[in-house]
Amino acid sequence: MAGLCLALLLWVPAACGDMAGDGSTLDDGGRMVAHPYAPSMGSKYGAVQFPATYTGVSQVFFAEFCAGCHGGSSPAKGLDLSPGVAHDALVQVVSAQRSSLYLVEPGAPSDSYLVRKLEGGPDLVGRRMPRGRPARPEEEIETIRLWISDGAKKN
Amino acid sequence: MRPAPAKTAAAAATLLALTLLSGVTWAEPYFAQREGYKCGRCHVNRTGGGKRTLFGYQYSRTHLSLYASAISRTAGHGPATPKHVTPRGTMLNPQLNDYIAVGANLRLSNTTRFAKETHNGFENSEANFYLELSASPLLDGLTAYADVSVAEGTVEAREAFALLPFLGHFYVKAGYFLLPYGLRIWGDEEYIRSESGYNYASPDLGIELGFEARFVSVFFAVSNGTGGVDTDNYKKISLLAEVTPVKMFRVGLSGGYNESDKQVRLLGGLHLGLTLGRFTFLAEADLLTNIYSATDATVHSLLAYGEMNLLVLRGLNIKATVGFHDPAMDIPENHRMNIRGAIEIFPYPMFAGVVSYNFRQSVPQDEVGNADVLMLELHAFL
Repeated sequence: MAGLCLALLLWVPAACGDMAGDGSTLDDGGRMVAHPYAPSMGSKYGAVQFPATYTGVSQVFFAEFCAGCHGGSSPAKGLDLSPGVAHDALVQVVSAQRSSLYLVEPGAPSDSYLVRKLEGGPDLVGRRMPRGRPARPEEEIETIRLWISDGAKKN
Repeated sequence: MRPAPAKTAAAAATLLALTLLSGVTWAEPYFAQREGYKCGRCHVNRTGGGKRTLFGYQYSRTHLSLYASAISRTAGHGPATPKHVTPRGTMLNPQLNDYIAVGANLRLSNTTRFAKETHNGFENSEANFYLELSASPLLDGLTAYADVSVAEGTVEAREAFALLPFLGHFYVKAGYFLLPYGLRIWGDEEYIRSESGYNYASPDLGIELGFEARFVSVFFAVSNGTGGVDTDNYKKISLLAEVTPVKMFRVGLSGGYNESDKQVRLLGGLHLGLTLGRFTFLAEADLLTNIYSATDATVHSLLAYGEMNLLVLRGLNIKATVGFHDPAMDIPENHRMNIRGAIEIFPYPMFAGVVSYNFRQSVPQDEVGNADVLMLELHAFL
């Protein structure tokens, strides 16, 4: 019995051959071209390049690292960072965790709670984001800082 | 980007070694399946997870550890009684008095992720403290419950609710709680947890109605569907029904419905549990349908999970799990898989050590999803 179960267990991966898809139906960022609103499957360890604009921040950074949880029909903590709606959810919106701060305060990245949640810090409420994943590289957070410094425009 | 054959072979060898050398415990529902219990037998939260009941505490002390096993053999009789597993003095009784009980779960792990560059670090995956207040003079059985996480130096509530039993088999729960759906396994990284949206990171505000009879359990919840304060007028519906006709077998159905201005999300699942001697099997399959308002597109996803547990001896368990996720069934070549082998040892009551290797395969664009994970974990609980 034990041998049968172990054999079955080891046979499953072998029988599956290529256990994952080759990704040929996805774009370089892991997005399903046929389903633009579906969550991205991209998740790079290294820094991701994106322009310091709302379009770049939302369609690349938020889409890859945030919207999986902060998106869909029940976004975590009620915060929806899906492309298209993230600006309204962030800019000059008071943080539920730190009511003295805006999530994004135009022109003031260090006072924007979004940046603090990504950088971590002693005054953080809740966990550093992205939850359960490696902290994002400084280059990416710096790009977000630049977008906020430039007024957090909807560009 | 694709794993090299050598990496695959190394992972398979590690999995084989882990499997042959010993055992596991990653997800706790297999305890319930092995014993033929309901989740609420050992947990204050009737749908599982969090603080243990006094029965659950005693079970952990007397039925899980190698130490209890040795005592039991020495004593020459059945399961050790609590006094046998008290090495010296008295262990803390989490039931402080008739009204107040406490509990805790602390997990510290060292994790190595084998990506392009290997990452190693300590993680405090769980540091939760529980408080249970009961015995209101007016409402018999009324329980107030709080589950607070202080992991990684931050404080946040995971659950905070009141629970009131009525008419013998029914209860109503109101507050902030984990919603009922499928198998509540510990690992939120498994696809049936992370992709379904029913996991330890997604409690919600609402009301749950439960019915628990000898062979049947039904849980129905209505919540905000936003993981917190309501941001729309829609509500999230969650349902879990389970039948345990005999101790060795259970079958359950789950459903979830959540609507917003942008999206409708439908989820349906089937789960099974089977115990054969020292083996305990659990399996779940879910079909997730997302309908996006903007494009009127419908995307069907498939989530699946299976686990096998071998109880080598009391206090030593071997576990192997397989997870599968197809994010869009109409698109080929985008599925991914997750295979894990683990050994879990309970050397002493209320303490466990886990060694696991997670063999992950995903599309090339998903670097995190392709990074195998070796984890050593210490788990203390009360």
